[in-house]
Amino acid sequence: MVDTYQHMVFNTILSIVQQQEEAEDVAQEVFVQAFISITKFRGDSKISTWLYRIAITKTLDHQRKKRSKKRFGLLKNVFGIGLQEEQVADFYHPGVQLENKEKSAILFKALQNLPSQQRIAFTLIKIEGLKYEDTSSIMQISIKAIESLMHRAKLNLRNQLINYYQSNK
Amino acid sequence: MKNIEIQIAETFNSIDDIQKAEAPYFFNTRVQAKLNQRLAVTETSWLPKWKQIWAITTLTILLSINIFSVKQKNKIKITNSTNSTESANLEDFSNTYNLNSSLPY
Repeated sequence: MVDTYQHMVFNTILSIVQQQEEAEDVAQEVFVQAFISITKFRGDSKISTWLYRIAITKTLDHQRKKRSKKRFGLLKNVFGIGLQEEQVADFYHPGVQLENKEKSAILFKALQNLPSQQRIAFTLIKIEGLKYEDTSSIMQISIKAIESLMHRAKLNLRNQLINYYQSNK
Repeated sequence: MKNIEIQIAETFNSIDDIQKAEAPYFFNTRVQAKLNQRLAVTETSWLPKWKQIWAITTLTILLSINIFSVKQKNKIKITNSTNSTESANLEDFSNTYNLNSSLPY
């Protein structure tokens, strides 16, 4: 199972988490979780769909924990304890062609500011290359809802990009 | 504005031919190690933490009840034995002074 699905799981997580080591850690957790709860897999969906679901849940959990840690760190900074907040480095996806490296980094940065549902839908469709139907069964919502999420995601990204390019003229 | 529109379109298109990122080398081995570690932890702690706390609490309560009941039993025994020596003394006294004799005066 790991051999077959490791790249799929890792690529999805990496595109959302945007940090190599963290993505590897979460991907490992996904497979451990899958092994532990394999008996709960009823077989009414594809294994890949099931793994995608676990991957998304684990990734969102990871990001929630990270955010709360960050908030706590900020609070510590306010009271003068702890270190300065770390700068988030630009993310260069290893699968992007060299000439698109800079542009894709801007897009990935904007992606981070999307609400989680929009971010996941956009990642699964645009980066993982999944169809709307597959994405709908992974996210367990209707195709119409996926379409709406994608529409809002593109709109939000567009607004962010307008702001970015206007301020960097 | 037109320039910005082009840049936005290019930014969106930058991920059009994206290849999938590959998991690092030895990913499989690391998953295996993590799984073994997790299973070892599960085996040693065969009861979940909250169940362990409940088990210890129940055991302590049962032991306390046992100790209390044993102490109570001993107390009753001691009281009973004191009562029996007292009645024996009374019997001795009545025998010595012939209090039980049926002689008419």
